[in-house]
Amino acid sequence: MKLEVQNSLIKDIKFSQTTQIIDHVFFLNKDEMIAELKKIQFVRDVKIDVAKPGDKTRIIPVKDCIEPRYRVDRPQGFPGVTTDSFQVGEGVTKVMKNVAVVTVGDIVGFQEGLIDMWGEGAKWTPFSKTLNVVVDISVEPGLDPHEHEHCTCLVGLKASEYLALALKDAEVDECETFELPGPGIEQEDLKGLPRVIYVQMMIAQGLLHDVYIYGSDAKKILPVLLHPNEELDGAVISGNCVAACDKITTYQHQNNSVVKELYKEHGKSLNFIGQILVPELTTMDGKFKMCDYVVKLCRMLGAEGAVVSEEGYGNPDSDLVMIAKGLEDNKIQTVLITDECTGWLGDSQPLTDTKEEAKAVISTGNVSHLVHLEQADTVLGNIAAISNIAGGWEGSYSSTDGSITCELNAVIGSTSEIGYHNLTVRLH
Amino acid sequence: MNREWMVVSNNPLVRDHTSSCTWVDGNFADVLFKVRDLVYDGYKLITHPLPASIGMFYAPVRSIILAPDKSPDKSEQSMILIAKAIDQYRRTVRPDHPQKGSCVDYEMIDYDLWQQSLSECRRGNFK
Repeated sequence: MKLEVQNSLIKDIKFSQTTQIIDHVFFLNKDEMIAELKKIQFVRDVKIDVAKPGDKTRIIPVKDCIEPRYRVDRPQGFPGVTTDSFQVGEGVTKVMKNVAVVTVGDIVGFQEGLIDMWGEGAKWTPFSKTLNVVVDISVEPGLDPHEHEHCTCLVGLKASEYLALALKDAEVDECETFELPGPGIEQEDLKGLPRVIYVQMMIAQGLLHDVYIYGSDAKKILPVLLHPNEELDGAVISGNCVAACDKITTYQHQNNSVVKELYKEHGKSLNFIGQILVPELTTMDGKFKMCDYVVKLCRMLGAEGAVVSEEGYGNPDSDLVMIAKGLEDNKIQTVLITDECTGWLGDSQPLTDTKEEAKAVISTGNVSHLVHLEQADTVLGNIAAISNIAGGWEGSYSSTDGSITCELNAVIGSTSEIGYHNLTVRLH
Repeated sequence: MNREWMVVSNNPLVRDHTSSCTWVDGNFADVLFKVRDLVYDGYKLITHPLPASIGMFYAPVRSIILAPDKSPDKSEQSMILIAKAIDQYRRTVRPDHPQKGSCVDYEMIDYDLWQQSLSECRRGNFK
């Protein structure tokens, strides 16, 4: 399976009467876009704004980020979600590089995180570097929370599809090719390289805690083998709004850093044989079953090494270390990627569960780290949401000076467990 | 709800939707303590005692499903897990951590997660 990703680099966004790309500038017809999005069931109102890197703008509460993409001579949209299902991962896909659709709007209870486009806050989120088309969604009053969640998700995805149409005739600035032969096909040049599989865990537990693969609700499936190109090409969308720092946005699924790094090493230091998506369930029985199933799949595929990434924090830590034990017991060397919840002082135990076999672990940061964010000139969304964001609290927002004190928990993508973020580790 | 399953909860929304609720008049930590006691009395954990997101760690309510452990040699797994959970909950949600409001919304999310767990139990056991 071969996927060619063609990037069109966008340097600026301007509102216009026509949606198109000219000389790396994306012109957006806001009224047409709003009219398109208001056709979606239960949408009462949509507001569109643009937030650019360096603007003193705060976006809150953010639900999801999505990268606009256009498939050449193939169906558009997110299969099984915004359109009928079809196979993705093979062909040419054009990408509106440097642009993200960012959805905002209250759903229920605690909300998702914030993005600061400047200053201290910008340091912590990768989405301070993108030109953000911010879609603020209001729905019909009295809507059931599940329908509300569904509606918000659809608006974001459809917004990205609307933007992506401008890519059809856009100039291409750079290309990336992703091609793997498949685990069953032996290639001479790969002989002797360790067969490495990527195991991606994902929250699959209920309201605000879901993920969809080709539109299938992940909490209702067994672990599934994917060609890594499928995730890069839109097969996986985020349906969770639980912890901004380590939820994997749809944008991050489309740009999964673990997949891209394994591709870089493919044929050099390892043989990248594929990807398994694993639901993180709530029941112990479910966790045991998922773990056993992952180990079995890895063995059947002849994996010698595995990289396992987590999503979330708390009960998925048990899945993470159980998978590590299962794989290590079967002589499959395993590296885990997770973030840590070590408290404001950084002195607590980082995970809620441990096992001896979980011995090679990459940390993507401490979710509890406190940050102080200065006052914004412009707030897109609702600043009051900070008190209901994980990592914020009553009093997080200072009405005196307009600043916010919160944990990294509140900042979108700040401790991404698939490594699509700004924090890094240096060897001394 | 399966007769053998019970939910230990301090969430009124859960209590009002099942006859199998062991009610805890207390906070999240009190629910964990009650679960620990029941595990030592011969119950096993059906759902993990902790949530999957930091947001729900700060929820004032929590619902955990248990069932009688009928295995001949009672597994220590649930005992170890609940002990770890209590330890980590204490480390994560310290008494001086600022608390949140909007209890009703947390109750709704906790209720939904409980419902989804029940569905998961039924799917997983062909019941």
